[in-house]
Amino acid sequence: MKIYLILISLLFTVTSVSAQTGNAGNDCCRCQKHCQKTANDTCGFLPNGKVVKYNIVIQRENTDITGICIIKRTNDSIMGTVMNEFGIKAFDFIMSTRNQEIELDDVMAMLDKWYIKKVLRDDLKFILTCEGKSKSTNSRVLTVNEDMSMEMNNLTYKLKYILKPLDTSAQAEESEGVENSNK
Amino acid sequence: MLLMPAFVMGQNPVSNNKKKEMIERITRVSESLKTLQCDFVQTKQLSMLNDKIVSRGKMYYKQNNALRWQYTSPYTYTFIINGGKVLMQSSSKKHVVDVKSSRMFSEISMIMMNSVTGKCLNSTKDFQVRMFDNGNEWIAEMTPLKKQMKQMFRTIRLHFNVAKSIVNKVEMIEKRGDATIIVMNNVKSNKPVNENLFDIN
Repeated sequence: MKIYLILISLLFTVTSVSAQTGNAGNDCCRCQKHCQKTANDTCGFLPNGKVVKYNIVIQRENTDITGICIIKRTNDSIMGTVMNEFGIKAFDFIMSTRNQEIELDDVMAMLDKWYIKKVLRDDLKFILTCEGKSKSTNSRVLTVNEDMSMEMNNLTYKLKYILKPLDTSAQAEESEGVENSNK
Repeated sequence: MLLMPAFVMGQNPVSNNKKKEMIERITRVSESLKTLQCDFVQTKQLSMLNDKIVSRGKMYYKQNNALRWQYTSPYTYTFIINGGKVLMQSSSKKHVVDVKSSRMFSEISMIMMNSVTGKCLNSTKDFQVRMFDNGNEWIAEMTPLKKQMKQMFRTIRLHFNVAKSIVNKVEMIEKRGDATIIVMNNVKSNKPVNENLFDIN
């Protein structure tokens, strides 16, 4: 029933990037020791202070939702935003690199349900603590490729997250040109 | 913060008579629009990350409910509304949805279409509208009245080129203040548009 409700929510968000159901459990417990060991270097694939932009696809069976995920790492946290292609925000997230707790903020109304947020938090934590390396547990499998594209499968809820880095360098230069020419 | 929109523009809204006159002119022009096409640059500001993401694309509109909104970089994504159907195509997949199957789809489609042309200024059930005259441009500041829109946006501002009475910039301000700004360039009205661009199947 929850899965059904969440799928409804996903479809209702039109093209918003979102997530799904229920009770995900503490998958990351298995890698807790490893995570603690590297608490100050939580996410090796994210250079400190840099903003990284990804194309994100979340799939569940025949449902396929796309959007943009923007992540920034600072000394003490990893923060980010997920939005759809039109720029409509789905949610913000922030993870402390000290205790690896994730908080979701400014969650769009349709996703603002405890069971969706729980899975989102656990899935995001699994991805953000990967240190740029593939890893797996009983319920989640993450594959990280050389180009830092990633695929994470939540086996419990049959969810697949695909993240591909966006090359936005040329865009930024072009847009500045446009902005200047409009002045 | 609530006073920000008026403060940013540094002026008061026009009188009711002037507002009526402006909206009538925009409506007249929008009704005479057979086609509209342009390039656009969409800039999404992200205050939490102190960053922005810039996307570019093309827009095509044809009278009688056909719109193609296509992002070309840094990602590819196409959204087509044609009659009662909506197509969403990313690099990985294509979805076609019947607008009638979802009230929200129906509303989003209408708002997108009507914002492009400016017809939404007459949607008194959807928005409270204030008009500003900056000399070179008219600005319609629209405050959502419906719950679903209110949850997404605090304000939507449409900027009109006064000479053409056509939208050339859209600002969508979210509840927390982050903004998405879409600037239309190379706007061409009533020029032939390839019908295939609106093909959903």
